[in-house]
Amino acid sequence: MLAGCRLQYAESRRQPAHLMALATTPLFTAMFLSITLRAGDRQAVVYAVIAPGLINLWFLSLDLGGESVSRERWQGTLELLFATPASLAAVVFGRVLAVAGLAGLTFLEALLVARVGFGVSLEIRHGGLLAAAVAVTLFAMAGTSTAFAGLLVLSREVLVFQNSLTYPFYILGGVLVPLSLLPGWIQPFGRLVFLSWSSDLIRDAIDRPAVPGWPWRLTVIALLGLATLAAGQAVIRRVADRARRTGSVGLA
Amino acid sequence: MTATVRVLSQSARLGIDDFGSVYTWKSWLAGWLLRMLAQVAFFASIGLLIGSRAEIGYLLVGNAVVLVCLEATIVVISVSVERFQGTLPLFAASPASPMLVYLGRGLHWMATGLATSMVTLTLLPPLFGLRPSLLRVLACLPVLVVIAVSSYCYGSFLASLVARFPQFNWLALNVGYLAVMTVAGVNVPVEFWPGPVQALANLLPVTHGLLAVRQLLDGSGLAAVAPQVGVEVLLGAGWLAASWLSYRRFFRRARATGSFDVG
Repeated sequence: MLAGCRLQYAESRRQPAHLMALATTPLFTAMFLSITLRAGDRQAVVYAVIAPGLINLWFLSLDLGGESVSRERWQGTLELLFATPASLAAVVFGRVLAVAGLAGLTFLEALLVARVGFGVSLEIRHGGLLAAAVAVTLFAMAGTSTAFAGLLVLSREVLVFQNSLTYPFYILGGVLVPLSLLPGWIQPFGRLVFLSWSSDLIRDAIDRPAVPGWPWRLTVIALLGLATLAAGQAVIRRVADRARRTGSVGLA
Repeated sequence: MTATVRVLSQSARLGIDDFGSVYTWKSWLAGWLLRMLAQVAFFASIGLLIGSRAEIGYLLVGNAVVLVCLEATIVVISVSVERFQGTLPLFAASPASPMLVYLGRGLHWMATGLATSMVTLTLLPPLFGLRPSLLRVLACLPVLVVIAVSSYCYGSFLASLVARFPQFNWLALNVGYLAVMTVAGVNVPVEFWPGPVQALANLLPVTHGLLAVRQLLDGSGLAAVAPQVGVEVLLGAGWLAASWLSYRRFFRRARATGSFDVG
């Protein structure tokens, strides 16, 4: 896992595309803030500053989940990776942890853009809870990314999947508009996505005088992260075993 | 002239074949189109957050129209693929103009962008309780074609820069269309921004064409929106000239220094 983490850090430092989240965060922040400031809605302004970080969390999970394995295939190293005794799932999880740090950085970047570009400062009411919510969210992100890697490990249409799983999940995850404001039939689906719990809790930790039920809400995020991590690892192991048996790693 | 059309059409066919190798009808409908509908629904739903029905309509139209620009600028990726495949020196050595090949490489993205935008403008408003006249939506089609062309020219300029630095392809594409989404009147009127940003917005594609689309949907006639459409056409011509010059400079320099695959 540590080797995966180190490898990802080394790759990301040398590839500007990996840092795209840092380049798009100011634009998303400006877009969301312009809409909410024009409307003069103070609470929505808070939501607008948080949303870019949440979007990046999801985008990076998806991007890395899809790319980490397909890049190994393009480089011709997937067969070698499958042949080593180390677990592929552990390598993927290590890579994701390295990127989770980048996702955390985009939250700070959005705060900076809001302050410098728009004169908007957020007053954080529950700093400890916010830190805990972000930490458990980053763990859930790593789990989700591992699940994506499992789903996409042998797919030739990674880009198609990556594209199609962005905005539908920004809606389901309530990254800007809370699920409670969306039609009732969407809400049960949204509650299956860790992002919807994270969005609500992070916003509440910043903006609400009291945050009811925060311990179990943190637990739900962690459990959803664990569930996706376990599912992702199981799928990766299964796919790896089958590919080893059939000798179809680079051809599938 | 005939040779120009032949090169452009063959390059466009190559682009269509590329597209076909990524998308089938099913994956385009269930993957791409659904994603685009979700993108516009996401932005329109901000109107629910700020409790304004008028804002829902404003955001929905702006974000549906900007899809044309988003797809047209994907030409950036189509061109950078050539760089990764190592075909640049072959283009440079061929008697046909490599600039023409590159300018034709992503023409299909204009067609898919128009389709996505029209479908979105037709299907999404009823979901938000809005009912624009179908005839009015159809009347927007010629303006959307103009926006598609001007956005493609803007995308081609970005592609000409990316030809030099192909590792920045996705970055250039995303920053390129997100900049338009941010300042071109898609989510808030251009007047919201400070003067220098407004000046930039007035040079970008979409800004003027989108104003024309909004006016058409509000009941104006084609004659009333002609000035805005005219500015959009002029801007498209400007971006086309900029991309042509940029490509020409790139190829001249690459030929002179032999740096097609390294610089």
